[in-house]
Amino acid sequence: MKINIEFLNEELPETLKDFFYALGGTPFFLFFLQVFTGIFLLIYYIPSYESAYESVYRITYTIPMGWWIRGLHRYGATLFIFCLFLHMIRVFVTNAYSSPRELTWVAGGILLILSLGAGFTGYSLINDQLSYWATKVGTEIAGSVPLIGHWLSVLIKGGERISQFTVSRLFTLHIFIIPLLLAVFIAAHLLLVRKYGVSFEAERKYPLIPEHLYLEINIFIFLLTFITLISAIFPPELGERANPLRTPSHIKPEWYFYPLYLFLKLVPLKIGIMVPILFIFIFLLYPFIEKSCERLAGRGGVLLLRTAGVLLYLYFVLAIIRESIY
Amino acid sequence: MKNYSYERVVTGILAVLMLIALIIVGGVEVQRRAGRVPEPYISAESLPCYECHTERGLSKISVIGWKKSKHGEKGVGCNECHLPAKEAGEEILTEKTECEDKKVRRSVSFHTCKRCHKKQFEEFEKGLHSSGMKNLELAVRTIGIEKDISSCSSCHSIGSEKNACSSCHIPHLYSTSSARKPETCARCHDGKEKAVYSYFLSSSHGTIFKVKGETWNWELKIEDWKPSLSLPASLIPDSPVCGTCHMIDGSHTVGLHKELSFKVLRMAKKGIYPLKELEREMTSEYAEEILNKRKEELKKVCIRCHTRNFFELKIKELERNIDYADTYLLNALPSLKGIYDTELIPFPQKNKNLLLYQHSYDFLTHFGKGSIY
Repeated sequence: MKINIEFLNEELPETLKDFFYALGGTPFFLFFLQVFTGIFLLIYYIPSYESAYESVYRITYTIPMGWWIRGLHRYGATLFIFCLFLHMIRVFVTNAYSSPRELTWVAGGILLILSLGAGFTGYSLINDQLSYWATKVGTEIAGSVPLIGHWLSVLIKGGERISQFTVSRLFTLHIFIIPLLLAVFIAAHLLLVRKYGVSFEAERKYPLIPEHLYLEINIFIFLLTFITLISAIFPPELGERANPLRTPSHIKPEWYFYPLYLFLKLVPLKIGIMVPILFIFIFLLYPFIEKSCERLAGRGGVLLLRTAGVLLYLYFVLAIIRESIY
Repeated sequence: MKNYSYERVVTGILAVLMLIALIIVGGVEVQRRAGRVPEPYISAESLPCYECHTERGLSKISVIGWKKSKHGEKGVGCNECHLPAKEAGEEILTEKTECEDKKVRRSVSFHTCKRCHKKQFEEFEKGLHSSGMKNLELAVRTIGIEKDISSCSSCHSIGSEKNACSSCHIPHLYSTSSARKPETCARCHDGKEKAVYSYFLSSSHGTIFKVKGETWNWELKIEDWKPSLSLPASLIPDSPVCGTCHMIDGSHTVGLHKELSFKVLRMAKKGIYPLKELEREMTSEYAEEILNKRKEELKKVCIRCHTRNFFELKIKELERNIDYADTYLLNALPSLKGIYDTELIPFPQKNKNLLLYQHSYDFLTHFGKGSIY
């Protein structure tokens, strides 16, 4: 009996062979890698304020190949966010978010924010010095949000201070709520891509099976090889155990939070919190804002907005470089 | 139809790269495993001890040491050692305990260690180390030392039930690698009394140890100290240490020289006897036979690295030097005896003859003028 699934017989535009236009597929694969390695880590990780550090220590230094799985998860997460940034930049510079694909952009934007949330909750679970103090700073930032700040901080921490409740909450967010939301929004993003198509249509097409399948397999093997090598060359380490009584001289978050971190250092706290919140709304609704701007101020307005976007991108890059060096 | 040979080649190349990456992962894993701290297994019986000592911070170092030890890895916990064996001596059985569990004893009897390390215990019993306390008591009786001997027991207690194993194997950690290091032997075999460790350090072998010892892999059994493909050359010890000659094949007899010391045998070979009884038991031929047997034992060790000719050359040099030393000592004995007789040196007067002959070097440095005692 021949199973004939229409979807499998589809042909894809030739442009998909170009890595520049296929950056969305990379984080899609990495998402599954994160889930897969996350399940392995869950076997040994203990979500307890007292034992979390020991369990990560055991994974890193005692369990056979534990360092590799943790390396895949850690570097996979970094690459995941890096690819999302690249994908977003490509969509921005090629104007791919314009009508009718505004909602695709919104779903993608939510995916990026969720991924940053997954990154934050992920490294907060280790309970070493960086993790503890990053959680403390992170929750203090949340606590400074006007009106709901205190409530938000208590909600995340499960009380006034970092305790077992904080670990439990961050753990639930990291392994259940955020991955579930990611899965939902990935599905929504893909459905929207299928419904509204892609911005680059090509006359030449190529078959999904086997040619595109080969491409995907190659990307899969390449990424796995790349992250494996990075893990083997720089195996993930573990800092000192969290010590609430000793503030480290440098508390730095992961690189993808550097722009926000630098901004907070440069401006007063209230501004440092309100501006990023405003930025998130503008970022998510950008296609609509640009359209309104075009209606109101013509092409000049759009040019101004895009210039602001490019300048912001330059700030991101410079902030990441600066904080990596100093 | 397109045959997709290009895609297949790319997939093949990437798969090979993946395989190489996995081999690298395997290599890193092997390296990390070598330096991995084993995970302790805490049995249900030992869990209350572990929890109480951890919570209250009691004997922290002992708990940390045990966690890193082979005992910890194999699940030999607190109760296996601190509940005394039924053969344990009265001193241990009647020892007072501060533990809530009144069956627990701080001291561990060598009979407890024997339950698992029978071979090592039997070898130890045959060796001179096991006579440490007996020799001290004998010395006290025969020579009539009036000084407090508690400081003597810091070394001589290797022959006691409580300290036999822990004298060389750090308690709780019970590491064989640290016991192999010459510093462990130096605890007793160095200083003014017996500068054996210092002599070793100033020898060619000792110099190699000083220069390279830090990089050596002390986890290797001494009998495996030979070139190997599985370890980088810098990790393999390339000079003998104390155990190489004195613990051949890891034997805990440590020399098998319990019956008579090398010095007494040398004297007997020359027909000189410090005690009349020895003259009846030990003919000069018999002494020579034992000395030759020991030389053959030594030869087996030396020729692991050196040629037979080199060994013969060096052993002749050594015998000549010892002969010189003995001749001078024998010449000095009457004068030394005269000094003793004048009682200028505060020295025990009982059994002087035995002192002069058997322990001339040792006792002079142990108790003579200028001694740290």
